[in-house]
Amino acid sequence: MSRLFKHNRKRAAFTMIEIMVGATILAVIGGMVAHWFVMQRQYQSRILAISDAQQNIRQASWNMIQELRTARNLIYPRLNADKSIRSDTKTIFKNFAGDIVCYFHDAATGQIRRCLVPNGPGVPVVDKKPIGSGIDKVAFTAHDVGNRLIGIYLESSGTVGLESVYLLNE
Amino acid sequence: MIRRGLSLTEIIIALAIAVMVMVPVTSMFSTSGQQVQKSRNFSFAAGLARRISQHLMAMPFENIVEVPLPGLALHDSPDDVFFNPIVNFSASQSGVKKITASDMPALHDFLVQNDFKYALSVSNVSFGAGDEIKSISILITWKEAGRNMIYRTHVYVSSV
Repeated sequence: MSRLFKHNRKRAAFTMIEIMVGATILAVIGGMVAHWFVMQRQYQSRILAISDAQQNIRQASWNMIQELRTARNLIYPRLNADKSIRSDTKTIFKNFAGDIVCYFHDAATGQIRRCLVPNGPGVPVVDKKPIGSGIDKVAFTAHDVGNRLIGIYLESSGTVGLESVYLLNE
Repeated sequence: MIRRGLSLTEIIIALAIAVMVMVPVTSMFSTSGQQVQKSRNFSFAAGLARRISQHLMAMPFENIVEVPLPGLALHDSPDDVFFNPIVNFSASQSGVKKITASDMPALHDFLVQNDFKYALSVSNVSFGAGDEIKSISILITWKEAGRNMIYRTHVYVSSV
């Protein structure tokens, strides 16, 4: 009977102080790791955003340059009356095949769209697919009197693209 | 009393292993970030070179002149012919915007940060009176993580 109430008073265990110190150290280390992890995630997000923006600009530029380079003439924009440069979020030109084409920026969707403008009565026909996406700002700028040089300013998530196209088929 | 726990040596070894794992992971993140930024700067430089090459086509032949190294800094050349003025959404000269801290702050900061410059090396080739070609090397330079970077392209412009 006496054995039933016999306790081993020498049982090894952690004291409250030890547990608190251990918990504090763990919390500090865990906090540092979590902070590092969050910082890395933010950094990765920024890098991914830059990469996406760069890709958006590259794709939009490429699509537009291919057609503009061989275009016949630039219809809009043109230099101002005082010969200063003129910019707009859209440009209209006659392409190699003789079609009147318009590129315009849809600020609501961040897309650059291409449409064919009828040479006479009718409504413009917008292409199903955009030629550029994720673009925040666009400026098509007429640079010369001969209407052969057009500047393209593109901005996507803080990344900028500065291009110009000289029309070969004037 | 026999207390079983971790010895200091064991803790140090565990920490050392943890650090050895964490350091490559961290450097992997930063390396990929540097690659993306490098790629962005390179694409931007290629765009600048293309822009210059296209403007050269439209310039009067005699106005194509040498721009010696170290070149012109884009953030500090408001009267430069290739990049300024850059946009104008108004119907007169009063609305032109140049690459300056006041007109285009984000672009200006980016150019300052990377110190983008351009230089032109021009060689004349003459085939007789009024029949000349200018051979132009376009050099775009910038700084990236303390390193000097360069992008080079070449164009020919005819006088006729």
